[in-house]
Amino acid sequence: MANTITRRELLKSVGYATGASVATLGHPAVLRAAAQPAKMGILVSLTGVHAIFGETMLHCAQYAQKEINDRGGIEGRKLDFVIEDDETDPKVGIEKARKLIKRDQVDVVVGSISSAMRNAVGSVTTKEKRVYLYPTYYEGGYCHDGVFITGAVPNQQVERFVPWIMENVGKTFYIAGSDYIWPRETSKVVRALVEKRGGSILGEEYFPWNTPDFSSLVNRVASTKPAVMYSLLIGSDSVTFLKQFHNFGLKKTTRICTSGVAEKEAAGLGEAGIGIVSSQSYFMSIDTPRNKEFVEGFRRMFPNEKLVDSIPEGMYNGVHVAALALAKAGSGDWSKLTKAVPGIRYKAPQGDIWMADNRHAALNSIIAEAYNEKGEFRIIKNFGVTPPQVNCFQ
Amino acid sequence: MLELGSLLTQFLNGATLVSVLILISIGLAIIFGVMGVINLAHGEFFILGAYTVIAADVLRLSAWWGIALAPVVVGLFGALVEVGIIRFLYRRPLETLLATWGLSIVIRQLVRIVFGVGYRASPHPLLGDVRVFGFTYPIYRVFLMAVCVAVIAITFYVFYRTDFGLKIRAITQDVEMASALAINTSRMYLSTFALGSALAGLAGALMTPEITVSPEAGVNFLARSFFVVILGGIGQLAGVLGGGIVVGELETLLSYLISATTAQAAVLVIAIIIIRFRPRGLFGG
Repeated sequence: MANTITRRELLKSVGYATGASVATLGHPAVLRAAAQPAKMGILVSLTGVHAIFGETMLHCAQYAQKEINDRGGIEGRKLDFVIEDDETDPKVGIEKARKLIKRDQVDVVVGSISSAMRNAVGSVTTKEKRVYLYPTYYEGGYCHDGVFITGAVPNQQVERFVPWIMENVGKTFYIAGSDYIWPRETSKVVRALVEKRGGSILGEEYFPWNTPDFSSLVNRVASTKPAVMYSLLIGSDSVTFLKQFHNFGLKKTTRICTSGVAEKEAAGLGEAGIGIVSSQSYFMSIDTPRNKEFVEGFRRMFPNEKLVDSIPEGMYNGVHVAALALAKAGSGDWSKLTKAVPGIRYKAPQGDIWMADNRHAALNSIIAEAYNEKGEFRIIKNFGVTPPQVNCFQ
Repeated sequence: MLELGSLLTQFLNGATLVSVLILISIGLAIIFGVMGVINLAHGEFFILGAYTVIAADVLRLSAWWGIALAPVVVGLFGALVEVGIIRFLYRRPLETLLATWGLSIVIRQLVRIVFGVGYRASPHPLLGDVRVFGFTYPIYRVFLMAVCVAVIAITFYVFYRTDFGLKIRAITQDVEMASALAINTSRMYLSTFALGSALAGLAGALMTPEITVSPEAGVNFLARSFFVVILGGIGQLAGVLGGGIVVGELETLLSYLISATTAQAAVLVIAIIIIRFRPRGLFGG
């Protein structure tokens, strides 16, 4: 449980990578290309509120790195990481992205959680002409050269989920979300699907970060009596709200459906999480040999990691997709690598995925239900691969 | 929309938030009033209370044990902090600001090392409803309010009706005069800081079933408590009551009528207006 990446390890890996680049400076270019390891910049939140995801993301990336190097690296070149902590602060993210590209000269950058962080990092990578992979589910619409996304967009989380809810749970919805772009964009997709199928939205509201008390929302839900509470609150706000919802006894009449709860949030809910239905591209309990191999191997390497969920799995996939692209392109060269990523197929723990032409990944749509207080999910339905729909607006 | 049942529920929701806010803010207010220390680690003391309940659960003790032990554990921790850090910084508010801010980071990281970075949960001690004037309300929230009211009443009693309270009020008014009258100021400081910490720890333990338990969660309540103390009038216990009621009820009732984002902003605006016309707070001279 203790934080397994220490500052010393971190400094060591950073120091090793910079040392390597200095040592190879003297060689002629041809020789350097053959001898030099491929270098990936791993940018994650190891401190601040997103550390809860960042730590597991880093571990998933390191597990992917081990797999790649055990199989002989990328076309014979060893894969090296330069790890940086963005401190859950986009200003720091910008500095660290610059450092990774200019000083460490990484071939590709992988990482980040929030949309704010991705916009910050992406603004640097696109300008500096370095390929960047973003692993987290988000609102869609981010279309910039060289930024590829291995996390789900709203249509992949919602398109199959909402019809399933209306058939199996009910047709009256109440939507609540954190007050920022992902919940607002996702709820548009939910609303359109619900209204098209003759259902109704009884209420829709948004809450600022770190709201300590959601009892007024709970109260309103109690008086409108929807069949479905569609929660787009995220992180600690999601946990606080769902605990209070449970404490008021509303789970008896209203079912929680969400695309913002995965294993980590459910573990923080304990018994309050039981019965929540969630839609993600990955759950730890997927019953395939590929996923079992992933979960077991990962736990062998990091015995203290209890839960992997869709964001760290996206990170793991991001590292593998980046490695496949580097192998295809032969180097981190901008024009070659940006052309190499679309079309890449990868057998991920969630199932087969591929990179579509719109820079986003075709991912699996899976519905699962939390069934115990440890935050574990039982798969209800796996719809297989849904191609990403992206209307560029960012 | 505004039926009587949900209006009453909403009032009780506000009362729950108010009582917890007051319990946290009182600790902050007495520490500042007596010692002149602005404790930026107060939110972490609150979350340490919640982690005491988690630790009790890990040790297979019920949440009630956690709630009972939290003020003791956090109070002792507070005493340790006073002896180890605060003692060297009396009457230097800026330095204590920096020291307690640093302390808050240290506590967060310690919690991370011991309990992990993830969210933690423990079994709910008291699920179920109680009938209040014909409407149902969660019994735990009623219990929570009752405990807060009792503890707040005891604190007031101690401050205004006991020798200990008299000495503390003497120190608040004039330290030098108080020590000239043979009041052992450093012992009083120690007990004040431990008491303030214990109150925050109790609040955290009580709120465990209602909030997210993570190393970072203390900040949510710290900001609001500062707000309560400033609005009520610094150094005034009665001010904390007034500030807590204004902040808690306003936020809860407004967020029932308008969107939560607007409501939280509106509370801030109203508070700024109040401070503009009563710079020493609602109850300040």
